Amino acid sequence: MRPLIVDRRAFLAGAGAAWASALLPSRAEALTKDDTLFASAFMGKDETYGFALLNAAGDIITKQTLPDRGHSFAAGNGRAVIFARRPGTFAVAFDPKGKTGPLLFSSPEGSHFYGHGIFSSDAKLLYATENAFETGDGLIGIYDVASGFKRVGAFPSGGIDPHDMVLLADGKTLCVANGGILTHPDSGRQKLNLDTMKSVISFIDVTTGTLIESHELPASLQRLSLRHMAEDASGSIWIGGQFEGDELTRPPLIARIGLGQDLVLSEFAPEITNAFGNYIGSVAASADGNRIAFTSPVGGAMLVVDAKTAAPLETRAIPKICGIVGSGNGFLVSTENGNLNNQRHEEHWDNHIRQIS
Amino acid sequence: MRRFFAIAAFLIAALPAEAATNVETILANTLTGYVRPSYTALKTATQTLTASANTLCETPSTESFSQAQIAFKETANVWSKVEWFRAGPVMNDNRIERMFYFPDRKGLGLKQVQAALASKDESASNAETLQTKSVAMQGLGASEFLLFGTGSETLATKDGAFRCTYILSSAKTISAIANDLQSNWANSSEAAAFWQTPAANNPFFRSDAEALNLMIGTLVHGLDAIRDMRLGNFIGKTTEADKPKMAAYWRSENTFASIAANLEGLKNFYEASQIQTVLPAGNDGLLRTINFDFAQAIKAAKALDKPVTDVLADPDSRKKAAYMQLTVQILIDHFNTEFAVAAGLDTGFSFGDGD
Repeated sequence: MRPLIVDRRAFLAGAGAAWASALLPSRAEALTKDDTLFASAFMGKDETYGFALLNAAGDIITKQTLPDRGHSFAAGNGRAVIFARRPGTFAVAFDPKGKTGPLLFSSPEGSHFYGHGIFSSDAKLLYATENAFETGDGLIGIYDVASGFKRVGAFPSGGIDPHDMVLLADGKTLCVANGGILTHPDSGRQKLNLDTMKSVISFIDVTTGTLIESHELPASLQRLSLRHMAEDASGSIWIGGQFEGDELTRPPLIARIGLGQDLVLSEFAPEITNAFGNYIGSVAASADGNRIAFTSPVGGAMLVVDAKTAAPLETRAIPKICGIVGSGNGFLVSTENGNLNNQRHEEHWDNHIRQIS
Repeated sequence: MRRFFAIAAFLIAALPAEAATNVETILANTLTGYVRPSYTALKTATQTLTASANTLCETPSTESFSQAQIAFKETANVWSKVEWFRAGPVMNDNRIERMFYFPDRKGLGLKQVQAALASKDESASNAETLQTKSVAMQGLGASEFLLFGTGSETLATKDGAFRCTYILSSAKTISAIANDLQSNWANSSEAAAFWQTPAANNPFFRSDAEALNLMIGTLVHGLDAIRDMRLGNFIGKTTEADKPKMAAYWRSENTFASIAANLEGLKNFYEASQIQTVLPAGNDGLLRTINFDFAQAIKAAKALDKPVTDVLADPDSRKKAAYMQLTVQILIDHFNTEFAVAAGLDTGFSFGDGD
């Protein structure tokens, strides 16, 4: 069984220090240009874990090792952080340009990361979704960048199982998708409360940690876990869910919300809904924010909708798809079996791709 | 708009051309050889438990008390054989949690059952109203405390009258669930129809590859759950970290018997389906290894059929339990990688193991 305890020395030995100087000139050049950089976690052929920096064409600029499986990223002001996948307790801060070495830090005793985070608008603080697992309370941990990502506080996430989150344009309102599913590291990743689970979308003032408002699903969707989100050009938040009930029912999986607005579920034609297999793994906005894309590794499906009208614009069948991010006029998508758009790699790409510079 | 037709074609094309058996046959085998017999056995076991509880309530005695305890263990083990099959009707109406609410980390069920006993809450001793109460109060977890927990000795006398009627209402509740599971998989059922015919509009699976994915995923997730929730939750990294009271069915000293039943259930699922016939020739070694590891894990669980505290206190027994955990992990690896690859499935991470 894979150990969950981070071996800090092994990680640092594998990761090395600043990586830019070790790159081939063509790769190093990619880091020095102003080109957009993306990142994704992966599992290697030998079942070791790492993350890769990618360009818009799907080329790998560099790969770095991780002590265990990673999940998603936060990026801001020339820094990026990758978080461990739940119930992992490590995060790694790194310089996307590779000029300084990575910094490993951990969630505090008694809690683990859920895999997502976001920087404050001035990039001085990092917010991370966390599980205080003895109580099951969802937390947003606050980490101070200047002090080497020291954890300086936390506030309640407004529910159980906070996963993805978005910081609204006002720079102080955090929208959090609380998936509602209770887990405890003693039981691995097993879901412990499906009978009572309750997903909550919360809006929180990050300057005070105060809950501004929260939104729940109707009772008929009690087993729908809202987990991933993206913001469109108008400031609406689009959310993708995962249904934990009977496969013979096909509930709506996509919702939309804004501060001060109701949670609105989007219904699509049965052939679109059916293609998701009751599971959306990732949500992304196009670069201009006018389109929102949803992916399902379970159904091998991708859906792009018009952010203004919620009308479906494009559906594609892509086996093992999950990672997606807006890039240029379209999207960069990854699959578990190595594809990055039209490029094939030997890495198993993990659930998310994020733009990091 | 582009249609969702490519996936089925892509994945079917990826299946090995020389596969001896078609997937619909495997699905039909699973239905007739595992799903239906398992739920029929559950119906029988819960009926026996109900009858035993009825006898205990009408004629309390050491003998009728003992018979009810035996019927409880039998029901728990029959449920353990099918509890990791998590497709279709069992996912509705909180049936899994109402059958057996576990793990109960905060002792919620225990507190609720004790409160009902203390106040002689008649809504708990009536099957119709019990179904509307907390899931933690309804099924095997509640019955186990009532039959084996503090104060259970009163059941052999008239002093246990209220406690006994609560056991009876719990038995009727899970018997009703077993009836529903059986009827919802009958010949005329929606679940049975969808289960046997992968198709574009089928909510279980749209293609043969998706069906195989669900089949192998059932094995992988079930073994994952045994590793994490039935072994890993009470066997610590050190003896000091052991948590014997986190074990399933520790009060009835049925922990390892239920784990053996868990493993036997997954082995039944695997064998009844004949899913190995989808593999091309040349995989005999893998199949032999899977059979060997299933047999080893089941043998180890059966050899440890004693109270959890005894297993953890004895270094040899504790080692055997840890060994069983390792064997379960090896089985997971077999199905998750080698078997899936041999079956022509394009593997990445664990089956459906998203986030």
